[in-house]
Amino acid sequence: MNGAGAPGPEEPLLEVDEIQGNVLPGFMKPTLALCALQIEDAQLAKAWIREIAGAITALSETLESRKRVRALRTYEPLAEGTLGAVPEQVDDAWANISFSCTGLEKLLAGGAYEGDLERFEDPGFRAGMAARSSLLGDPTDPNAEGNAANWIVGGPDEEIDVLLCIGADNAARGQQLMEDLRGTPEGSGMVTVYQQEGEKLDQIGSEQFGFQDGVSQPGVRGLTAPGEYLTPRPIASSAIPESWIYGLPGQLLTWPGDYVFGYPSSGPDPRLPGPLATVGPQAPDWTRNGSYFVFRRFRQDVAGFWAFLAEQAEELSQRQPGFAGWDAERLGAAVVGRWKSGAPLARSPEADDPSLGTNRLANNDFGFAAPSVQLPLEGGGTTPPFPLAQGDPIGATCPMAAHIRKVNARTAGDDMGGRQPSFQRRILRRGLPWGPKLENPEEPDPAEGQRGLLFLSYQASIARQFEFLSNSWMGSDTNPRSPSGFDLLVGQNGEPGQGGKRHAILFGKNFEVGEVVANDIFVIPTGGGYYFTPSISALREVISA
Amino acid sequence: MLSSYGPPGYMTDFDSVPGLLGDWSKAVSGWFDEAIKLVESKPGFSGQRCQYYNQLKQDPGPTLEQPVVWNAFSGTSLRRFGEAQAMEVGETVMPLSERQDGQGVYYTGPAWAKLFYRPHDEYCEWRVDRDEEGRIMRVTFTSEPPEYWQALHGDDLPNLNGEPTYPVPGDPQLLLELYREYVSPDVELEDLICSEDLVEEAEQKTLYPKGSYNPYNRWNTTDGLMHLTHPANSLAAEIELGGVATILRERYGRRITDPDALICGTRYGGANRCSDPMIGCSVNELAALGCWVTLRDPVGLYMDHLDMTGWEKPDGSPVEPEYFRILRGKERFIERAVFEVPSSEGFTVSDVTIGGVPIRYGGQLAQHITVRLVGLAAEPGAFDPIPLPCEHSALIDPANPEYLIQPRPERGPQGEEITAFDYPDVAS
Repeated sequence: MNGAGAPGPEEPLLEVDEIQGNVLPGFMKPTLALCALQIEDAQLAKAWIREIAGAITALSETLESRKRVRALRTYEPLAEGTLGAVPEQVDDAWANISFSCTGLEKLLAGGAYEGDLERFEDPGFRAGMAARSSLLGDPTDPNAEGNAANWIVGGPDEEIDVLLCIGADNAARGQQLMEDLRGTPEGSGMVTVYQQEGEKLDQIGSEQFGFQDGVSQPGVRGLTAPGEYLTPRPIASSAIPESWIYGLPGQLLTWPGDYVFGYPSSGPDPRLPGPLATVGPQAPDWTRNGSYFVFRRFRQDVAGFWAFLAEQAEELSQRQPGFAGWDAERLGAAVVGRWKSGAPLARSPEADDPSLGTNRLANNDFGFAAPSVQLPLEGGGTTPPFPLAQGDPIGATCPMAAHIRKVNARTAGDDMGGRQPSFQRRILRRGLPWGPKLENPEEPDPAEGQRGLLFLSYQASIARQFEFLSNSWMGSDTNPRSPSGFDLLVGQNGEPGQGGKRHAILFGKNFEVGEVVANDIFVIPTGGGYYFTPSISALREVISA
Repeated sequence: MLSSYGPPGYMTDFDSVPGLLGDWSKAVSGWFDEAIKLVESKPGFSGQRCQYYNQLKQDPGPTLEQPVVWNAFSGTSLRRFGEAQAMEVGETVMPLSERQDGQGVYYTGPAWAKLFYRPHDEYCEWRVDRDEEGRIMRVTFTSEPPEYWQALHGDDLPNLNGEPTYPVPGDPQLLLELYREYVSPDVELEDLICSEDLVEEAEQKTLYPKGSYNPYNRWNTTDGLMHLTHPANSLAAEIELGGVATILRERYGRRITDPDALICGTRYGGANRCSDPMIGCSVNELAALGCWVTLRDPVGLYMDHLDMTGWEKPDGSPVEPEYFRILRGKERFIERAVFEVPSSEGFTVSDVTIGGVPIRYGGQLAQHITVRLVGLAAEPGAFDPIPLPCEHSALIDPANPEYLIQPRPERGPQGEEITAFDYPDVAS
């Protein structure tokens, strides 16, 4: 302890029966179903919302099940490749509901809360995703697949009003819940304009390109009952300050106001609460325990991605001795910052290590600014003895352009200041892949390229978090750190006059600098929207009132 | 070995003034030497070698470039005032008797209340020109350091303490011509020089003698923009920060790596800015690898680019990249630039939208400008630096918990503030 100060103020008690369960702690189920609705009759729609409000799953219910899962599995894989396997004893089907600005306008019109939307400051939420599409770097060419005018859902003037989100262990149970909730569609005053299912592709939760997804979800501070943290803290309390700063090793704890209104958000000192999160200076009381929700439907060009990697890796390895031996998998790891198994380049620079990738006590335990250390754990023992990460300030091991480094500088500084801005821009990701997995990208594709990601995220600011990450970091060739280039996985170059061309700077052996260039995007936006996910009581007492 | 330090941004104004290029290089070299001495004089540093080096005197071998980037919009204003008010503050000039970052003054004495600076503390400043209806006609940006303009006038360039120290030959007529070209044809030379000694009275130090160039002249503050004015925005400050940041720091026996904790513990710059914490931690991380560290020639502060993603004309089509024009410096080394819609387009900057939001303030553009300097690192492992204890701490006021307070001696009574980062740092 060495005379260090106190661990900091007590964390806020979360209103567990108010916050919807996909916000916190997140459904995290292997299947997902979305149903997008447009309101035709607001009075009928409100009656429908009142009717289903009792079936909307709160944090408390989700957490009880999560505790059972935690009790049934460990942080370390029981066998290689089993990360994320949910015990058979768990069989849940849960629902959450969210509303776009246009949806809330229709529902609040003529009522006591009609003017309240004016007090929502977020320009993203107010304008909607389609209107902000070019800011995200989406193609401005009206003929491009990713142009908002060509979206399958949520395009210009086709804004979704209401988005139902179901998470279930069993797809059939999820579908049944969806049908139960929708009831008689014509009686609800709403029409279904889009439905889509997603599911985990394998035991480790890979996305369509084959990389484990969702490894570095932020830890969220807060108590769910006196003395009970929302996010487990397995590090021994003797480890100061790591036990104050981390959930799982390397899982930096952020304050709940980064995602949920009415709670403190992250400030300069990660141990201390920052400003209270609100939808604006004059926030209506009913927005407490709500969150902003982003849905973005991506199509992923899996064959194109792997062809790009193979071609660029071959060119690079032939052109530059420092990159000798690089192949598509190696370049892919540089583009993502992790190997396919989830093993971070920072801890396994030369080759994939599935045992590291699936070990939750190790696969997120690294930084970029300085060497990591082994940590003691509650109940004895230490974090697993995989090779530790070394300081990597220029991106010689994990490139600055790597996806994981673009969206999360961790404790290192970034272009918006020190470490604080990085913490304030974290998002809670809740998406799953759609479409069948492409087993071999070099063989004919029965699905003809129809696969991708149903990206879902919760945050307290769409502009400052989701949009900022897309535009200012993934879509920047210099930020948050240089020497960089673009995030070739997800980032887009929306700069006028540059034709969407992207490049990334990499380091080979002996600090040899290399560059790869992509003329195409492999993750293509094909729909989406911005929503507000209200508290359970706001659903009952305001939105459906 | 480098033979001389060039002028910032590869600018060529010095070429026509005999001796100026050489004396500019001597001044830059002098600033590096001062910064190195400052590092070596830090309590507890004796016995260690300084990792910061002067390229005219040291050649550690092949170097690796590390651009250090940050956002041009003031992090200090953003965190102190919130975005809406920060935009308003960004449109104003403030008297030098009033600090941007809290209570207190930059310089003491009545003269400073009549001189102004722009509250843009990220080494990039801007000025908005509007028409009679208040529509924005153009926004002009600069990253030119004041020392460059003092040199053009032929003043003794200041040392790191602000005292006139390094003599250079100048060409006041050239200075005047440049002002007339870039700011206004109405500029007169007497407008640009100090009519009296400008004295920092608390220290009885003459910063700008009568007859010398006045960086706070009206054509560079209230009536125009030529170069940086914020007291923190100088080339010497950049060089000093680069040097001091090579010192590793520790608290409770653990090396400090958190950029915010590091700048609070060392006070080598403004903790709430985008720039200083980023510059400091970038240098510090290279120093921790045991590298020699310095700044790339030409030493300067540059706008890297303006990101116009999502910027649209009134018809919804993307803006033309040519709306942003580099006026001084060059690509990636931009010293002066303007964003302006050609009159033939039939609309103004105020009609341009960013993500659907009309441009109302220059700060909206600044939020999309990336500023940078370029660091150099050589010979990793050449040093095995030993961290020194922190010399300072910072406070957080619960009334604005996003803002770090770096207490100054003249600061008044404390309130409910909490000491920040009062614990060992995480290891990564």
